[in-house]
Amino acid sequence: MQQWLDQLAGSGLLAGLPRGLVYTMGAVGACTLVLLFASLLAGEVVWLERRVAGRMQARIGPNRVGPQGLLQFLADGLKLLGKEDVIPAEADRPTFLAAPVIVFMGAFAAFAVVPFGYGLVPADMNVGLFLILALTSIEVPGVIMAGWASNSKWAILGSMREVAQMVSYEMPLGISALVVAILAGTLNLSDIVAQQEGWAWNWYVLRGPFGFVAFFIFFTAALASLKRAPFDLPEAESELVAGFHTEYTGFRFAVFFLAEYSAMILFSMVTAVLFLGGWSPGFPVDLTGPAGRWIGFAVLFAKTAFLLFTMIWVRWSLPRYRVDKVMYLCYKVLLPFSVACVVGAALQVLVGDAVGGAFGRWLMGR
Amino acid sequence: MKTYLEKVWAGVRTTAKGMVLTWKHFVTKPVTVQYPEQKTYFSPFERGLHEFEPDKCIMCHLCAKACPVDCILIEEEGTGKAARLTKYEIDYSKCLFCSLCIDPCPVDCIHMGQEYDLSAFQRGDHVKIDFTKGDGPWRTKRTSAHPEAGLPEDAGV
Repeated sequence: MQQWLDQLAGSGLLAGLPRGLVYTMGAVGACTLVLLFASLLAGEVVWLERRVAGRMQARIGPNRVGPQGLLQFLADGLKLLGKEDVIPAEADRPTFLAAPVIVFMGAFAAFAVVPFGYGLVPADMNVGLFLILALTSIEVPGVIMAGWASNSKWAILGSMREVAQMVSYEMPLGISALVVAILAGTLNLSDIVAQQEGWAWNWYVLRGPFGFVAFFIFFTAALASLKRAPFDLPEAESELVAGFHTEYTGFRFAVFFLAEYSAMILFSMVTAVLFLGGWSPGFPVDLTGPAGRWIGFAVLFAKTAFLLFTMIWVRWSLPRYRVDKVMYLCYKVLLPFSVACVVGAALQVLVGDAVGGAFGRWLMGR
Repeated sequence: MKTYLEKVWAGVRTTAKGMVLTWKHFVTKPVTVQYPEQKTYFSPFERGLHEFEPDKCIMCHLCAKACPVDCILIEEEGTGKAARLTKYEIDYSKCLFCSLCIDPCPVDCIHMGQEYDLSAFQRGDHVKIDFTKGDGPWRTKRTSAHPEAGLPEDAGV
């Protein structure tokens, strides 16, 4: 990003401008692009969710607004904007108002380090994977604030469940991501993708049994930290009305919704980048050129769409867990299995180093 | 340890089983009928909007007398053989589609028809229908041109 901006600043119309201004403009432009991408795609994911849910229940789903109902999210958003913005009388006003912003910020800021294609990274960082795990945790204080400030029993119960669940599932999430970090030897997401280029067996999900198991653990833990069914206890409609956003209406509710669905997109992209080879289509092809990187973006998008579909598919298949079963699954199943995967991946790297040759390099993961 | 692993395996297996089941539903055709564009089968023995043949009516008022909710209003000009029907109105806000008006008619000029959707953009538009005027939805195959036509061809009975 910086090289690209330096190039831009040194030529053409921008040559006379101070370097700092060019950087700021570049940052604002990239932010706007990513925001547009995330929010429009989040809207379409809502549409996809409703259509897929419909088909799984032998219905059709929304197909009236726009072609095949694609503009349904605009109609929904306009409806929400037209609603009265209610703030409960006993609510803690500043906290109540800040909560949706913080929740959305956590989901949105993590897009900064996601490699959309070769060189299409808003911020190419050495600690990208760590930063994503850290930024998505910002959602937790936002949810506590929403639940506490609402001054409603449903909201506080929902946010308590949410916090317990998210903090617990951060562990299997981070540890199963560590499997990829060990195999790749780096936390830079672009480098992780670069090491998965070539044939599909270079993807970390197919490099040995540990990556394979870690993929499922990561996806399950991602579902849990996204509060998606079957882990949707924090907003369990049938028990808690709507959980921590019970008291939110209108635009603020829309922001919560947007944050939830952009976090879905984020986690699908990160899963695709870590385990499914990112922008690599599964056979050796050079996607580093100016046109190739957009093809790479399309490939990553297709993988993301597949994972999003799987999330929706899971939601409409499985019933909600009981609270203690959610904790059982986290601490007694996912955590031991992910630790075992980390140990196994470390051994795999050592064995690969000892064996040497092409097979050894495949085992080592780099 | 063994039961623990068995439990984990059971969890994985049942999850996969459930996912396969919903996938099967996903690939089946939706049962939804997109109503205004598509319509479901309407049995010929169901009772829809009335069909009325004004030229056969002898203004005997038997249908109006049979009506349990008094929704039929008949007006005529002249007397005896010169009598002429000026109004035959059914108030569909009252009508309960019981078909009791059909049986007493000596000339079989009123039938229960195949139309059932009285949708309009304003409430008053379709509440009362005057069967001597206009070319409304009640003019289907069985009205005056073919009084003996019987069931529609595509009834499938």
